[in-house]
Amino acid sequence: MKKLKWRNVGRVFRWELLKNIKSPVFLATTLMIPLIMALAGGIGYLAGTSVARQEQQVAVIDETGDFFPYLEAHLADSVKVTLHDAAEREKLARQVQERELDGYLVFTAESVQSGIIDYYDRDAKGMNTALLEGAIKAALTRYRLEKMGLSEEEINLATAPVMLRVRSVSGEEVSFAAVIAPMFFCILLVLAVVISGQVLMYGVLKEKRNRIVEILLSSVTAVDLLLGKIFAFGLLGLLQITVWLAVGLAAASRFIDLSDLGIKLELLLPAALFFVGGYIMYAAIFAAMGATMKDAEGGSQTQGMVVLIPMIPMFASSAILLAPNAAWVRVMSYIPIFTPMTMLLRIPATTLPWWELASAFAALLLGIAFFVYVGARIFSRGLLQFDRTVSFKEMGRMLRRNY
Amino acid sequence: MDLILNVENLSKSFGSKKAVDGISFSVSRGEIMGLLGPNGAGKTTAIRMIMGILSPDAGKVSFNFNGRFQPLDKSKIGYLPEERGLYEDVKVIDNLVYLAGLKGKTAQEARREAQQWLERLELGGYAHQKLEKLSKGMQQKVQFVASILHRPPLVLFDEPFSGLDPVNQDFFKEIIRELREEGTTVLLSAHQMNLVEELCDSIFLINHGREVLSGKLQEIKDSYKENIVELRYEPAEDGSFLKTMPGLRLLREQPGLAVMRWRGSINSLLQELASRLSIKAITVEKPPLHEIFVETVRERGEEVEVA
Repeated sequence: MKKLKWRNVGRVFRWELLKNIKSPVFLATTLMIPLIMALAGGIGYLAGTSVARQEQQVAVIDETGDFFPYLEAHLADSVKVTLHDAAEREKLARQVQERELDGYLVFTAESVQSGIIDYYDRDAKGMNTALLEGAIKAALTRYRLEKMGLSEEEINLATAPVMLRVRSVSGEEVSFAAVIAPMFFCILLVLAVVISGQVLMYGVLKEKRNRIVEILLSSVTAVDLLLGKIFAFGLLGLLQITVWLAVGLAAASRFIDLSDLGIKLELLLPAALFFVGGYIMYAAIFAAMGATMKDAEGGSQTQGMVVLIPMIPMFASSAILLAPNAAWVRVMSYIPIFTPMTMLLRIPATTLPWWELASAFAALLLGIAFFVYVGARIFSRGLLQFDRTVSFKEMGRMLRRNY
Repeated sequence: MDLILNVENLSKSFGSKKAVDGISFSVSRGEIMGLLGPNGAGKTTAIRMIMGILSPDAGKVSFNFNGRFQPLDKSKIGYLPEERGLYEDVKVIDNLVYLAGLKGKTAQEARREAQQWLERLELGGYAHQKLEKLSKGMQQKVQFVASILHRPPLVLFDEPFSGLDPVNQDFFKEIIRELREEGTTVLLSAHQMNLVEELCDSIFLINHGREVLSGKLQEIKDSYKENIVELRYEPAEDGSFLKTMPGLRLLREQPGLAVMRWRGSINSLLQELASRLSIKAITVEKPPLHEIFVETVRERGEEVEVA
């Protein structure tokens, strides 16, 4: 391979960066993705809070005579209860029908015994009774325990909440966010790679189709050209996810305390390294694929399938998160094409020893070297095949023979 | 002789087809050399190998830009490929500045000189238009500027005249001659030999990837043994003896006019004609390059490639 000229790589890099940063595709995806995410998140959030915040009016017929105070004490503020006499049943039913009440509860001596409580609603199918049910459960437990003659202390002991706290042996707590964050990063990598990878691939195809590529190759080597493009798209990708992350975190900070997310800096650095490394490797593959294509139609078929291979860990993400140290997951970490996604999932999900991080990263570096080299060979040879799509068989021949 | 480019025994195959088969030639500094042959003869493959876009199976290409032979330095060569193309969705001037930049020219210099060139080619007003707004002919001119903007000592033009109308063909010829005046060496390829033979100092004729003829154009013509003779004589006289004269082949004949090919000394032909006819006018010239090419190929028992 001819000697690399970093000045030429730099020139190609600058050109590709400036050309693509202004392109409608880049601007649209950079701005649209957070908008879509914000919309999706916002709808979910609104849907969740509207149920919790809505005030409910519930009437209670208490035939036991002494349960009502227990219920009242355990209900959330958003549920208003009023005590009624059994004779008022018909009136209550009418009020429910006329929407003056959301529903009414009936407690009898048997029902507090059996635990089967009747609740009457206007439309039994559409009701949300989770809040009521929780409160009744708690109230009924306390009521029963008191009836059994237990002391306050004993009752508190019996009703103390139980929570399963998961920790690793090194003493770290695993938070919910630690499981969600890697998924989030993986999705970002997939999005960024697929979107800008496609832009890169079609950019190469376009240069090939309008024949500019021969002029470029009369000034720079195919490797200079490939590296310039890859670095430019790497930076564009980073820029894109920075925007997405900034928008995402800014939006999230309105609702939750970010420190609760459990994102730690010492995890962020290796994650970023695997992200950028993965990005560069996939970009080399995309560029090589673009060079073998004759037109855009071919690209979305055979060559398009190739780009699905690195995504395989993504499809297995829940299995990886459940068993981040399983033997098969470890093996996947060392297969370069799977390394970035697998490691992005593993890093936050488990505590990896430094040597495992380092060796997986070494595998990724080897993968980058391999795919940039192979990519460059296919790239430089495919580029001059103007009139046809290069088959995989021919690609193999390109790698062996000197063109 | 002061050589700028030396090609030794260059070969390249695609599959079982030998595109270029052991050709050797050299280009002297400051000359215009024509790499001529029919379509599919191997011209583009040869030029791509010289330009370092394809790597040869065998053979060597070396350049002498400053006193000693060395391998390829792409920034010293201008290249106009046969298949033209630039960034269509990018402004004309930005196209030119980027490509000159890849050859090592600073943006500022490139911008200024590109503007001068565009004005010279009557495209000054289009500098800040996107390339796709320009007509095909205009785009060809922009491409031409792109290949010489960085003032290379050597330029390779692959089929520079294809797709040009006659007016622009003449215009480009004029500029190529100017480049030579300024000391630039030009290697150009063409399949229409008649179009470029007046332009070239030296030629290399290629067919099926192999050399047919090469050297100084004038020497090739001088050493070619046939001449084309156009003779006008008194129409009343009998010119029928021309049909049977040894070494003479009639191409056209009518009373008072004969066009023929003559193989032999011009002196002896003139004596023979003068003794039998009253000559009113006579011109003797070498046949056009294309005919020399076809004849030479045929004499070797080969076929002229038709792509």
